[in-house]
Amino acid sequence: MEQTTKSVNTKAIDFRYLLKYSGYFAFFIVALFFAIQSSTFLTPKNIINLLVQSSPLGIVACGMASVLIGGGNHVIRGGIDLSLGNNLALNVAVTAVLINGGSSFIAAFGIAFLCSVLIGIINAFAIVKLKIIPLLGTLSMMYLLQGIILLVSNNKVVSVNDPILIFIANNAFIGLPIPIWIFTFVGLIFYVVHHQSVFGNWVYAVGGNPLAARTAGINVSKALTLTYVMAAITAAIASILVTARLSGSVPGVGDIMLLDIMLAGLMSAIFSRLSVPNIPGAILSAIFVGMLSNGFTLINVPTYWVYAIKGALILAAVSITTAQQRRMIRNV
Amino acid sequence: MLSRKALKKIISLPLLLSILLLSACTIGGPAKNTDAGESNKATAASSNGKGTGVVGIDGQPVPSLKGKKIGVAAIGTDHNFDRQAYQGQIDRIKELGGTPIAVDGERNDQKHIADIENLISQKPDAIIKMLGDTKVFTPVLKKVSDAKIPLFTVDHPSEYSIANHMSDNYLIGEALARKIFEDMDGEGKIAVFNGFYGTRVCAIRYDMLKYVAKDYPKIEFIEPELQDVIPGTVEDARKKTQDLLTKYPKKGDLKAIWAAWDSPSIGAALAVDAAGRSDIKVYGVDGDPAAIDMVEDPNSSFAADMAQVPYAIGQAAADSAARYLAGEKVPSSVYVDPVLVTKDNAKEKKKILFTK
Repeated sequence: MEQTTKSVNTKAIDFRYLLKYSGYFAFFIVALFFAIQSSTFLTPKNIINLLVQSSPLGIVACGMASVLIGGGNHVIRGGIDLSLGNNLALNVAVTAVLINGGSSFIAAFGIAFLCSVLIGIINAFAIVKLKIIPLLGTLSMMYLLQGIILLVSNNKVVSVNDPILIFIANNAFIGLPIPIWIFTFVGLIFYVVHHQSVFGNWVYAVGGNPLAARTAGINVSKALTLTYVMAAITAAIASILVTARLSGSVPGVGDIMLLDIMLAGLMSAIFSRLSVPNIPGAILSAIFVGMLSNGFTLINVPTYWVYAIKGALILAAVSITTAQQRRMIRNV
Repeated sequence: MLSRKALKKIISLPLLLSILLLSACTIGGPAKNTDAGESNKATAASSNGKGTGVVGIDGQPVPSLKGKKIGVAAIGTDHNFDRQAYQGQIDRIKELGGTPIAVDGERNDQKHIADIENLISQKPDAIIKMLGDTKVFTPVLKKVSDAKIPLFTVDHPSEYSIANHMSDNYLIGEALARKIFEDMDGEGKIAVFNGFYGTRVCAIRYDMLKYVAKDYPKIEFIEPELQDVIPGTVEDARKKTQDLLTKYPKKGDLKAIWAAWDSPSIGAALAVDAAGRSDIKVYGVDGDPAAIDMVEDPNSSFAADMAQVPYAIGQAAADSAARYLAGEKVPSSVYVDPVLVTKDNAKEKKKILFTK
C-alpha cells in the first residue's frame, strides 16, 4: 500500500511540476507570438496601455478568485459571485448620478461603496446563513442589481466631469498611470491576505474541505462571509477606474464585464501547482485577456478571435481543475 | 500512464493556443473587400492627375493612401448602419491603396476605448472613429490628438475631429416632410412619434417636419404626440398605433404617421396593415433593411423611407483622411445626401443602399 502511494506520488510530482507552469507557459507563448508579429507589442508605452486596460478587470478578478478559493471550485456547488459585474455597474451608476446631482466625489463614491459592501453582506448572508447555492444566490442578486441600475441611470449615459476622476484617468505617478498603481496595490493586498496570512490558510482550508476546516477550529462562516465582502469591495474599487475611464456611467457595463471576471477567476487555477484558484493567477489571467485584444489589434487581425481563445482557455482551465479534483479524490 | 495523460494535457493547451493564433492570422485580416465603388473608378481616371482613379462621393478625385495605415474604430457592427459604414471605410481605404487596421468595439464602450488606445500605439497615419456618445470618448480622443494622429469621425461630433461625416439631417427632415404633405394633398391629420426629441438628430428631423408644415396650414398634428421607447420599440409602437386607430376609426380621419427613425414606423405600419386601414400611410427615416422591405411591398402601409447611405458615409470619411494626408483642406462637416425610398423606386434604391 505504501509502495503504491509512493509510486503515484513520484509520477504526480513530474506532472504537477509541469502543470504548475502550464498557465505561465501559455501566457509566455501568446506574449512571444505577439512580440514576434508586432514590434510595438513590447514597447513600454504599449505595456502600460495594456496594464491600464486590464486594471479594472484585474481588480475584480482578485475578488472573484477570493470567492472561488473560499467556496471551493466545484462547478455547481462551489463559490462564485455572478453579481460582481453588476455590483461594479451599480457603483458606477450611483457615483455618476450623485456627482451629477451635485455631490462631491468623496460623498458620491462613499455612498456607492457602502451599497457595494451591503450587496456583499447580503450575498454572504444568503449563502452562509440561508445555505443557498452561490450560483443561484448571486444570480438572483445579479438580476436584482440590473433592475436597480436601470432605475438609477434610466438606461442612459450619465456623463461626469469630476476633477478627481479626471485626475485618476489622466495622471501618472513615477511614470505609471494611477489605475496601474491602484491595481498593484489591490493585487498586493489580496496576495498577502490570501497567500501570506493565517486568514489565507483559513480560506483555502474552507474551500478545500469545509468540514475538516470546521473541525480544525476555523470559523467557516466568518471566512466565507469575508470573501464575498472583499469581492464586493474589489467591485467598488474597480468602479472608480471604470467611471474615470468612461467619464461617467454607460448602460450595460456590468453584463459585459461579468464573463471576463468569471474567466479570469476560473483561469487563475492554471497558474497554480495544485490547480486551485489563486490571486497571482487571477491577475495574470486578467492581463492575459487584455493582451489578447491588444495583441490582435496590433497585428491587424479581427478581435473576434479573442472569443475563440477565451473559450479554449476556459475549457482548458476547467478541464485541468476537474482532472485535478478527480485525482485528489482518487488519492484520498 | 498518469504522466502520459498529464503530458498530453500540458501539451494540448499551448498547442490549442498556437493553432488558434495561427488560424487567426491566416484566416483573419480585416473584413473582405467588396467591389462597391469600383464603378467610380473608370470615370475618375481621366480627371485625376494623382493616379488613384478614385472619385470621392462628392465627385472630386481622391488622392492615394499608398503606404498609409489608417485605423478604423467602430463602436460596433450589430446594426445595419454600423456594418455598412464600417465596410465603406475599409473598402475605400483599400481601394485608395492604404492599409486599414479595423477594430470592432462590439458595442462595449470600454473595449472601444481600449481599441482606440491600441490603435494609437501603432502610430497609424490617421484614425477614423465611428459613432458613440461624445462625452464618453472625449478623453480617449484627446489622446489621439495628443499623439498628433489626425482624427476623422463618422456620426460623432468631437472637438478633436478634423472632419465629421454624417447624413444631412436637415435635408432628411425637409424632403420627407414635403413628400408626406404632398401625399396628404395638403390637408388632414398626421400622428408623430416624438419620444427622443432630446437626441439631436431626431430633433432636427422633427423640427424640419414642423417647419415645412407651416406651408401647409390645413395639416393638423395630433396631440398629444406619441412617445417611442427603447427597448421594445417596434412592439410598443405597434400597440400605441392600435390604440390610435381605435381613437380614429373612420377612414380619412387620420392620413399619416411619422417617426424620426425606422423602428417605430415599422411597428406603426404593422398595426395599420393588421387593421386593414389602407387610408393611412406610414413614413420613417434611416433605411433599415426591414423598413425598406416594407416600402417595397405594395400591400404595406409603409409608404416612404428617407434612407441614410452609411456605406457612402464611410467612404466619405476615408476620402477626407486621404485628402487631409495629401495636404488638401477638408471641411469640418461632410454631409452625405440621403435617399428617398418610395414604393416606385424601392427595388432600384436597394442596390445603392445595401452593397453587401
